[in-house]
Amino acid sequence: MFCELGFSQDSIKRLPEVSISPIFKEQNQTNSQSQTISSKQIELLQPEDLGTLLQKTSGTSIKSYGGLGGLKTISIRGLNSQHSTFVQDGFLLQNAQTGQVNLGQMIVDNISEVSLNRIGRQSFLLPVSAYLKGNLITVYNKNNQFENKEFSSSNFKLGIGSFGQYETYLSSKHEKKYFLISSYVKFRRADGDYNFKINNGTLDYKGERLNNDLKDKYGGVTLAYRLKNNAILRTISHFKEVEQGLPGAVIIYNPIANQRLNTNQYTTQIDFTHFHKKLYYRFYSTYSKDKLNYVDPTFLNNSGGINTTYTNDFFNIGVSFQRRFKTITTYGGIETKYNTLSFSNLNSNSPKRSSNFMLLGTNYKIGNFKFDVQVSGQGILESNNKGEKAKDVYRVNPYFSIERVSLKPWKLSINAWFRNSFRMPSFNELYYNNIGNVDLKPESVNQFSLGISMLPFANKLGIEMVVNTFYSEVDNQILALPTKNLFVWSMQNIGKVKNYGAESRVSFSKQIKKDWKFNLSMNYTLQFALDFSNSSSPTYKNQIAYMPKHTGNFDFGISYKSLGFTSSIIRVSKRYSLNENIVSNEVPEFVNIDLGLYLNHKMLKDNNLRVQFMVKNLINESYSYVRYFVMPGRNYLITLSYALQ
Amino acid sequence: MRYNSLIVLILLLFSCKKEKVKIEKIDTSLLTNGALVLCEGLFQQNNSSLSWINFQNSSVVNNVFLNQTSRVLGDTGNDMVEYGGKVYIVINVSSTIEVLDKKTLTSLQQIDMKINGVAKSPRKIKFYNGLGYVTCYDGYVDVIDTTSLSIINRIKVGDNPEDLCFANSKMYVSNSGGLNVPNVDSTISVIDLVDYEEIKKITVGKNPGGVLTDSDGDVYVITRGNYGSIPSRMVKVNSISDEMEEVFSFNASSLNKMEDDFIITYNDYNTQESSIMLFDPTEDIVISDDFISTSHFSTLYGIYFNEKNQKIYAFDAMNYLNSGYVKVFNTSGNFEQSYPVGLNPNSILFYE
Repeated sequence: MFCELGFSQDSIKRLPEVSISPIFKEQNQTNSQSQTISSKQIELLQPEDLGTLLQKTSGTSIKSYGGLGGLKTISIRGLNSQHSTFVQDGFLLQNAQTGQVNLGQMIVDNISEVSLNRIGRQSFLLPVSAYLKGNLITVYNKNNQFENKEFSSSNFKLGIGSFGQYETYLSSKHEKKYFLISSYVKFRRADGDYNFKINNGTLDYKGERLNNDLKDKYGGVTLAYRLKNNAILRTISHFKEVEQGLPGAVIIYNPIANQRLNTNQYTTQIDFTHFHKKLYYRFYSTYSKDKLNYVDPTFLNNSGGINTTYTNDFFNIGVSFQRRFKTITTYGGIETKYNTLSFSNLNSNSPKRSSNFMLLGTNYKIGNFKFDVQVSGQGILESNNKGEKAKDVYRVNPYFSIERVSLKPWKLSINAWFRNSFRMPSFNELYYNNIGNVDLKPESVNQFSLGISMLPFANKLGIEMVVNTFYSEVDNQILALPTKNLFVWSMQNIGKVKNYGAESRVSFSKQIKKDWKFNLSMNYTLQFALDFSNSSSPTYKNQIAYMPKHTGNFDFGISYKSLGFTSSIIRVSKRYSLNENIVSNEVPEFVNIDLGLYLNHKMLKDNNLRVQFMVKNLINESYSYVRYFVMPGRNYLITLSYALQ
Repeated sequence: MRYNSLIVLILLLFSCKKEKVKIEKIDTSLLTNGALVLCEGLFQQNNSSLSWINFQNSSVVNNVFLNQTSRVLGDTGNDMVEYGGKVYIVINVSSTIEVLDKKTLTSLQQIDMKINGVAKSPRKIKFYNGLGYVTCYDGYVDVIDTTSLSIINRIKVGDNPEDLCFANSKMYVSNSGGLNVPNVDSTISVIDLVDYEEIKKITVGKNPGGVLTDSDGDVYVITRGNYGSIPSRMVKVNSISDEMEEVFSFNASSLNKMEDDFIITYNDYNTQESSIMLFDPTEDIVISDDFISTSHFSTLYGIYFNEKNQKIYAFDAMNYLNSGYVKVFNTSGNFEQSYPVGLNPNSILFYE
């Protein structure tokens, strides 16, 4: 249960015969450098999206602008969202325009497992580009993998919630010895408008957050074919269509919002994985087209508003490999990636980026010690058909880790690692109309981590404990500053940030009596993210905007036979809306409590009916992550799911 | 039970204290020999504020509006002008005009600046013959009755009007067209103040901004260019012929009155070049091209002359994200002192 990091030897041995799934997922276990959320936990939490789910991990803070489908981003150990890579079923997710993934538009119905992995080592066959940034989040769906049994299964889910929310989800999978087909589709709609009450000075300001409607569709098809010589060929296609209102910030005395955003995304992924004796390799490729249409009908220009479409194209192709020699595993690969962005208005830029990646790493085990060394090289070439281009970037980045595992007593494991990484400025940061700045340099990070994990009292109480400390320095941080006037902002490379802190997790699960189960998990993160940009600035050594010093969550569940109760509490300490840590910039702390009650009912042979009732934001507090982006008050969700085999 | 201590610990961890905003009203009898400063705040933060500077003891009280009215001023306060014992504050993004009693700072009226549910986005206010005139970014100048404190008329002008002034019984409105970037406007509208009709549009140069009338009735206009190849300049318009008479060859980005002279500031955002000069509009000559050293400022964000104490008050918006300063200079341009105020100070009213 509590063994070494990432790829255990057992799973490697079993690989060719049994399943390729361990390539894309992590062992279901605690270790100090990765955290996993299983499908069971996902089912209990009924999160609206991946952002809500990732809030259950330590070391992370989520920034949400509110509303279903609204923008949600993650910051891990003080590093902003653009330092995180997302990999779904072994394929890179990417948007070069913003440089980040909107977690509010990643549905969780088709996710079997989510892992937050800081060192990118849970598998060696992921895309090369996945190993290069500061943090890695992998998402995995078992419907897209062979499970090595001949079977068919289907899932149906219906949900009805507050604010006119309806959703349906349908998925099915048919697996034969050599062939697999699966598909899913999801529809969702919500009126979305909700009432709120916030402070206006010492008075109450009541209002309704309007223009918050959502209509979205998601779907996908996976085909996989197993060749006799331990090889698998697979294609996965997804689409996403989202039409949403943008409620914007609550502007006191001006409740009107009219902006809309329509998103259309199509993705096709293909891979070929071959397990050849001790050499495993995987060819992979992704093509994705992402269209964003922004409409503001009340913008006071003389063409009657704004209607702009941004088209992002993304293509990558690469190969990853791993080769084992007794206690040494060598891994690596090469990848090339293209991103283009075009704006519908003719005056704008038309940037293209071609990125080339190379990775070589080795993993060495001696006694209870494990060492991992990686070197990656990147060459990123920019071009812009309609204007100035950013400078090309060539970098070599190292990574080292050392780990001492399974110390007695309590299976104590200690590890330390260092990673040097960077993130490219996004297309928006470089080229967006007046705001972009083509002179931006990449944002660089040096990260250090020291962690301990253990299973105290042997397995008697089922307690797992993890403590990590971390330190990182960010140079050339990219910040948006108003320059020409307050309405014309520009991106600048002026920041230097130092992050340090500690994160801890304790989880505990126990069968109390026959039919009674009990589980509990707690996370607590203390983080200082301090501005070291300029010693004469009033913000010197102040906490960076929107970085909470304290975040914690507490989850508790109890079940009797097929009936269960869950509760989930999150607390985020006060933050500042700007880097100057003064009272007038404070964003108040909040506590959010969700409760759930569920019933599982076995039917026919292996069929299962599940009914779940959730109360979200029990205390009905109008809290916000981002100042004046007020979140919904108490709301309810009832879901009915039926799984048949 | 041994879990008790754990449960207590958890409750402690998640217990949440609610903080209410604390307010302290200031003694309004002390609103003398000082200045009220409007701090614009930042977009979408609802944090426009008023600061009170006491000249006697050099103390500053921030958040005066909140303290006196128990509510916030709103989002993006663009202008503050006194007329007839009342203070008018133009709040752009909240789209309101707050009217306060100058002596007590109590709220007299909040004028809603929306039409058919759409914000008019008011920018600047000026007064003439008992009426207030407000430029609104939706292409109008609104007329306010200063007794009933309500909008009594809307005058159609050009795109995104920025500033206005009065000369020869006419109103001159600069049409920035700023929201049509890069196709900005280049005109000022001349408005007849009897029938509120536009008499003429005068082409003055790209992106007209600040306008000011001199003691001879000539109208001076800043044309801000394109922040690139077209420089930011000052032009002169004759208010009798309503023709443009001169484009001055020096750089200029804002106009401010000092008795009969103009203080002209300039800031180039690309080169960081800046200057504060003194100009004589009757002779059309530069009196001093380095009147006040710009080395005193991170971001010069406005400048005002106080006739009563003969001092110049200039705003430093720092990097726009940190609290700003009001910096005081004498009429020789020498620095005297500095007051810390709120975020992005942009307007000031002096109290005797």
